[in-house]
Amino acid sequence: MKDMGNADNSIVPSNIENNTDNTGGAEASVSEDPVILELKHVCKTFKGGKKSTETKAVQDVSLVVRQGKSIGVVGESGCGKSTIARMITQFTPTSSGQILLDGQDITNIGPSGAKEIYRKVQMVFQDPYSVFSPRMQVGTFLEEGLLHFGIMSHAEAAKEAVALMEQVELSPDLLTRFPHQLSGGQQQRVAIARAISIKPKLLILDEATSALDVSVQKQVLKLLVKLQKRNNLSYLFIGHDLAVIRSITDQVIVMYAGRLMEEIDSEELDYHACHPYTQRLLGSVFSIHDRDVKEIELEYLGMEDDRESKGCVFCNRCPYAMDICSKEAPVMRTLHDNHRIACHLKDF
Amino acid sequence: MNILEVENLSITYDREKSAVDHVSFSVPDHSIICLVGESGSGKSTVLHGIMGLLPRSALVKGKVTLFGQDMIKAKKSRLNQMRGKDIAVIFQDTGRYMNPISTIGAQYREFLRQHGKYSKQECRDLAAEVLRRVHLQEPERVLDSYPFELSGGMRQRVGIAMAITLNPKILFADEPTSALDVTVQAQVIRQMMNLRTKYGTSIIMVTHNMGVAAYMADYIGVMQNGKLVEWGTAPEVIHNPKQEYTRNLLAAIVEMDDERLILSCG
Ligand SMILES: Nc1ncnc2c1ncn2[C@@H]1O[C@H](COP(=O)(O)OP(=O)(O)O)[C@@H](O)[C@H]1O
Ligand SMILES: Nc1ncnc2c1ncn2[C@@H]1O[C@H](COP(=O)(O)OP(=O)(O)O)[C@@H](O)[C@H]1O
Ligand code: SF4
Ligand SMILES: [Mg+2]
Ligand SMILES: [Mg+2]
Repeated sequence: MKDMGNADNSIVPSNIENNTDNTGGAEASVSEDPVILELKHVCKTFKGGKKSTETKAVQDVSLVVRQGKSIGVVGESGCGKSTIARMITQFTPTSSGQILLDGQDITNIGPSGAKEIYRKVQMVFQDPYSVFSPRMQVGTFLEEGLLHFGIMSHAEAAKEAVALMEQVELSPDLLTRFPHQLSGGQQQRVAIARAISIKPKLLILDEATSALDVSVQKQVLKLLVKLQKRNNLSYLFIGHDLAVIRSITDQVIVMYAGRLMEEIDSEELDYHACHPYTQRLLGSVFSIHDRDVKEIELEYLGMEDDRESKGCVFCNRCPYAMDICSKEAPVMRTLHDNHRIACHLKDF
Repeated sequence: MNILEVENLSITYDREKSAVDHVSFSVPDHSIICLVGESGSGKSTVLHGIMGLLPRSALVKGKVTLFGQDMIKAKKSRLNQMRGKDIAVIFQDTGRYMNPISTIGAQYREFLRQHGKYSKQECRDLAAEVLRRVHLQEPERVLDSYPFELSGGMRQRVGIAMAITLNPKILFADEPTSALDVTVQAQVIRQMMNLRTKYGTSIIMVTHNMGVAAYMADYIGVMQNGKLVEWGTAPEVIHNPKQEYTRNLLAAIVEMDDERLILSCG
């Protein structure tokens, strides 16, 4: 596997030109399924912000999502997960790198081009209530999406709304309800119904089940898996809960301070993930199955300063940090077929 | 010895339905209790009821005895005096309860002076020492910061520091780690547990995270619709729950070593 770009990749576009033949992270995947989404060396730098400086929110991120597959992006808040979603959906411009959707370069096509790509990619957010108009009935809300894209007539849309409710396992009786009359789980199901209504190829789910109570969450997760299989959908599933991400994705991408740390088959996450940061995350999960005393670091303050590191962004927290770690950013390399890691350590 | 006894506690916000319905439990000295259950089940209301922090409109019945003192009959002034010294409280977002236009140091001073005579320098020294105890680096810098200049995790640790400054006998915590990242959550949980080990502080914590409850609690109480449907030692409740409701709640948790949903459904 070729490396994923210059170690201290800046946001200067010339940097990627050297790598135009490099299709990025998951190229070596043995899967034959067509590629739906591809990010190549994508960077995002916010100007201004808290410290009236720049924030390198996303640095040199490459990833591939294939048809019918679910890719998880996991990491702590501020690591750049939502920014990736926002670049894909054109809510925020991309600083450098390339985003391909279904083979088409959609990097910075902007709001005017966005309508076209929303046929192919839809989002589901943590707070479904934020996407509803409070005075719009569920039925109207579902029909609106269909009518907006001129896919069908009013009568057809009304019929389709009933079918969508059935797909997300809600009673069509709820079509006449207003959002505030629904529970959180019902609201999220309606948001999912709307997202799949125009038959997109890709759903980006940003912390979509994070605010739900566990029993509701599990039901919604099961629904998402069913919908994905039934409709051959691709998912980019963003979240912070490792166990949830592992459970419903094929592959996981672990990020820290804007950079990729590790990429691994979800099946392998618990036993074979080997990046020191992934291990730190795994070690922080509280499980009802073990009450072992955890080894917990007690000094960590926040990743904001880590972003600026010339070397590995994790080096301030890493128990294995060596001299080179603070000087040179590790380059993503392949350990096995679908297992990639950015770390200077030689043996795992 | 029990530090806290709750007997038949019922709390109603509006007359229709009880938010808390005949809840009884007792807390042995130096123990850690976790109240778990789905949102709206009444966990926070129980906690607020015990501490006398409910809105005036709430109707409270039953008996709460903390350090032998009847908390429901106690005067507001007496409760205020107890809170901060013997009783400490941590909320989910401590930052929200901080004064945005005053530095952490100034707020710390104000807090300390409610409970004793401290010079400016004594306040600062004590604050810095406690901030160090919760492993906040550069405590001097933290004291000179305004709340918005700190991350959520740092504010939460400042909240914990303030709460433990006067070595409280009991700490009430309402989802103190729910807004935190997993690695920071792990640190905060560890620090709370250290409190009990080092200072014998009893802890009553509300959480929706069963894994956290299993890890830190001696006793777990499960709430559903205002009722305490299950109560037992942590191993009993986690491994041998008596109630169907608890079993379902536990089964709903997505765990690292479960069969993956992507394989098992669809
Ligand atoms: N509009 C913005 N302006 C400035 N900085 C931003 C903006 N959006 C996000 N950021 C910063 O970019 C970083 C990544 O944020 P985000 O992608 O939201 O992280 P995550 O979703 O992983 O929590 C954070 O440091 C955040 O403060
Ligand atoms: N200040 C309040 N006024 C009216 N109702 C409230 C208030 N606080 C909570 N409730 C209601 O009381 C019930 C229990 O709430 P709460 O104790 O917050 O549950 P939990 O902490 O378990 O999520 C819920 O039905 C909630 O809507
Ligand atoms: S590159 Fe160095 S600092 Fe970074 S994770 Fe690997 S060992 Fe740790
Ligand atoms: Mg986010
Ligand atoms: Mg609550």
